[in-house]
Amino acid sequence: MNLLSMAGMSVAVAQVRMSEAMLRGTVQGLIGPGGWQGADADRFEAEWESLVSARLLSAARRLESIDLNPFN
Amino acid sequence: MSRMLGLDPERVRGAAAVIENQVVGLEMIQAQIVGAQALSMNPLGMLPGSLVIAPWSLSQASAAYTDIVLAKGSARELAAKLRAEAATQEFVSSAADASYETGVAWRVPDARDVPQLRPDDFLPGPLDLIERIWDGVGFVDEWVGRLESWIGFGFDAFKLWAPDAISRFDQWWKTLPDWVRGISRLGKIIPVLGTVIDAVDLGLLLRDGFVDGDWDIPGLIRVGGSLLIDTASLIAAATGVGLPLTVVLQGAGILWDIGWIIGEHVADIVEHPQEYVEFLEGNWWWYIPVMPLAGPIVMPFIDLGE
Repeated sequence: MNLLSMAGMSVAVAQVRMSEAMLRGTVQGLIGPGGWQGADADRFEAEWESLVSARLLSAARRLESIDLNPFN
Repeated sequence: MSRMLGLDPERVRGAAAVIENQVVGLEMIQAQIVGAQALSMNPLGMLPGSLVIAPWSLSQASAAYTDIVLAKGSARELAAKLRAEAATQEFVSSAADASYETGVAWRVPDARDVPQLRPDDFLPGPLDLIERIWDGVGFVDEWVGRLESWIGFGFDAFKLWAPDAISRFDQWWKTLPDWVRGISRLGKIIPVLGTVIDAVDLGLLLRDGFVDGDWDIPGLIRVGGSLLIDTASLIAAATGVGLPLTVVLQGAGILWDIGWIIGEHVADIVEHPQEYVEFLEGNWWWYIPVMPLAGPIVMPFIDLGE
């Protein structure tokens, strides 16, 4: 994957978002009715959202905002 | 603290393992960001018309890299908490009426929510690098390209922020024999530039490294050791001792720098990013080999308007 191409950058953004979604899915699979519940579960989920998901989504947005220019 | 009552510890451990594996998968993107930044700041060898990251977007690339580093660290920490909880759950479940203090409490996030980071949060697989060092031709082909970009990146920073040092470097470069400069024209630039950079570093360190009654011993060891390895690889390349030896020496030089950089600087970068940036702004030439690694972390804080 070459980041220095429109397609490559799009792939990188998609991969970061996909990683975030898969990680979040793993966590959500543990938490909720029939699974882990209570104050600790809520705190874990909140920490995950702020420390992992938010950062990965921020990384994806930043990569999306990168401008690529031709080298002359 | 409540426990994961009713939750299967094996299921929890499985989730922790999935998280840890997914996190490793982000390393490829980290490596691509670093490579794209380096090429964009030193596009020599790129064909006209090739795309590079626009100068005003370089800080966004650095910030994206930092976001991924911190997310990986936090994900790993939270996965460790899951494993600890699973172990606790098993103990509690097996005990008749015991109360058990694991001593493992939720880490109270600090104000910056910075996780405990490891060296391989920054680099894609230093162990993989060790395994690949013996793949002579492939290793050289790939890493020469990367190192040229990294060294070029360091040189761009060097030229921009250290005009006096570049003047000293130019004078020193002219004193080198023709056959050394000839090697660089042939593209075998790694051992030559590495030697030059570390000789300048060592000279500066010997001149300025005596601070408050003490020598900067770690700095002297680091730069002196790196110079020794780079000089040996320069001699090996010039005398044609053989590709495998040159590859090994170049790889050893890389590992020396990387190992030292990781051990010495990772904690500083993460715990005191602003102080690290301020030090680098005044002493760029000390950290040319470090910049490709530290740059993505500290660049968002650096004022490029000088």
